[in-house]
Amino acid sequence: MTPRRMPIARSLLLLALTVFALAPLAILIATSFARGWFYPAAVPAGFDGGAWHDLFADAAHRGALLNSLLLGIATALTATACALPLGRAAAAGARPVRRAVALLAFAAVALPPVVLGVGLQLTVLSLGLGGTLFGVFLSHLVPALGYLTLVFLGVFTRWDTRLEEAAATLGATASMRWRIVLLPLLRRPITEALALGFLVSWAQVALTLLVGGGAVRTLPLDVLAMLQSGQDQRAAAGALALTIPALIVLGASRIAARNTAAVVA
Amino acid sequence: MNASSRHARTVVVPLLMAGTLLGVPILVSIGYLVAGALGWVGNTSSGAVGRMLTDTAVWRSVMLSLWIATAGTAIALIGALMIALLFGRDRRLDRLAQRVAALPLPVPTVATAVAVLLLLSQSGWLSRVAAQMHLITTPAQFPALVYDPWAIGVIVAVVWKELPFLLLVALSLQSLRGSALIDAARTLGATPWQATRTITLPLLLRGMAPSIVAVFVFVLGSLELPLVLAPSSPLALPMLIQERRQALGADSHADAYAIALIATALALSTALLHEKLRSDA
Repeated sequence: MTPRRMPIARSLLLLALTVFALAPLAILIATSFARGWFYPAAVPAGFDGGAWHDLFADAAHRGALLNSLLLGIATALTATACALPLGRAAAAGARPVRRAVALLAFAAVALPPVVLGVGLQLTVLSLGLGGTLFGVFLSHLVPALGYLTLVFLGVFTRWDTRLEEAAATLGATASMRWRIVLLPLLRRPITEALALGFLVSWAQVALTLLVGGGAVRTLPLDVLAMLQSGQDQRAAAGALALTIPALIVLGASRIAARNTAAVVA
Repeated sequence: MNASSRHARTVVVPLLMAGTLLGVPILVSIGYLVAGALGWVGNTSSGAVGRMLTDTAVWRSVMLSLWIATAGTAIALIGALMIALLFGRDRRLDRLAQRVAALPLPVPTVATAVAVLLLLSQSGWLSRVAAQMHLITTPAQFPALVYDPWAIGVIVAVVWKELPFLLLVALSLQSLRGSALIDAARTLGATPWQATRTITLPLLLRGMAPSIVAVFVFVLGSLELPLVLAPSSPLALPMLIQERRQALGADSHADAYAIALIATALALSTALLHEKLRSDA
């Protein structure tokens, strides 16, 4: 099956792929800006920014957005700070140690969030943190740490330690080696890990729902509530408000990665 | 560096860190689930495990969740392989196709669910187009693609969300492996289809196995998509746990913990399979 011999199949598949990839995003944009879009009209009667205005004029939604941002940033920073040394220590370990750490990390990712949430709910409640932003942050850390440990385990398994050894031979202390050698070389994986950590928390529903107990509002929970109460336009605007920061974070991490590619490669 | 400090650095430190940061929350969570299912904590009654193992509603939920995860992962995989094989080169059209296919990657699951609902529901955009084309006159005449017994809406959302991830894995595997084996097979007289069937696909599938398992297990445990798009009878497994957890009564809470234990067993057995595939790959 050579692509060169299948120009029609390739063109048709590209067309289908474009429609498939863009249709859901297009419907979100159209619905969020639609004015007077009643069944069976296939296109709205007009467009305005009413749903977006309603979304951000509501102080409760703004609070939910702020909570989501705080949780995303705190989770990204903390999970990266913990997963980096963990991945490095595990990669330096023997094969059974690496496998044990990888298994634990994958278990944190593989456990359904509802399952993890039900268990963590009781833990957080017993610590007196049920229904608090800090309790929700602790619960978001578990899957984020799982993902990022797998990332750094992969990075350090292929890591060339000769530069660090050379720096040590030249008299660099452990902190100097981190500051001058390791961190500049790790800029790309650290940037990607921060982006991934943010996204894991940003899109989280089950853990927030269970551990937050309805007292902690985040943007994904608000979008679901709007949808369930029939506010389709606000829900579409909220869904896009969820998507745009995710796109920005991913785009920024890719640009940062591209800018550091020459250093790391 | 003496043997004991090396042992500490390579064995004790990573195990201690992983145990504290990952093992403790997981074990505490599972410990609470076991205790809750046995009626020891959290205002629960005993006997839930036996009750849930013989409850047909639970097994129907397990079957629905397995169906969604299997069908969604399989269709996303087939799509990713087709695109990787047809658009896997580094030409302009190929790069365009790869970028288009990767678009849904950063879209949060909740946003995906909202978009699919707006497209596929009986008053959604496809239904409106059908009405404009005089194929239907009322929303009820449009086939149920969400809240339907086959969970078509959930599966469409899974494919939209997971195809880009599997495609990226397939493309990176293709670029890493190069074309030496294919060239050798072609030199030895294999047709393009034979080379694809006997070399490219098996190599891709072997390399992608851990990612395929990861997608499967992610879909199996996803709450957001079933919450918005799945039928209410039977409920998908994460929704059944959530429903029993929110219900009043000690029996319901214990049932939620027991069902969560069944879901844990499914997820952990998949994690073990993932680890085996990862070490074999």
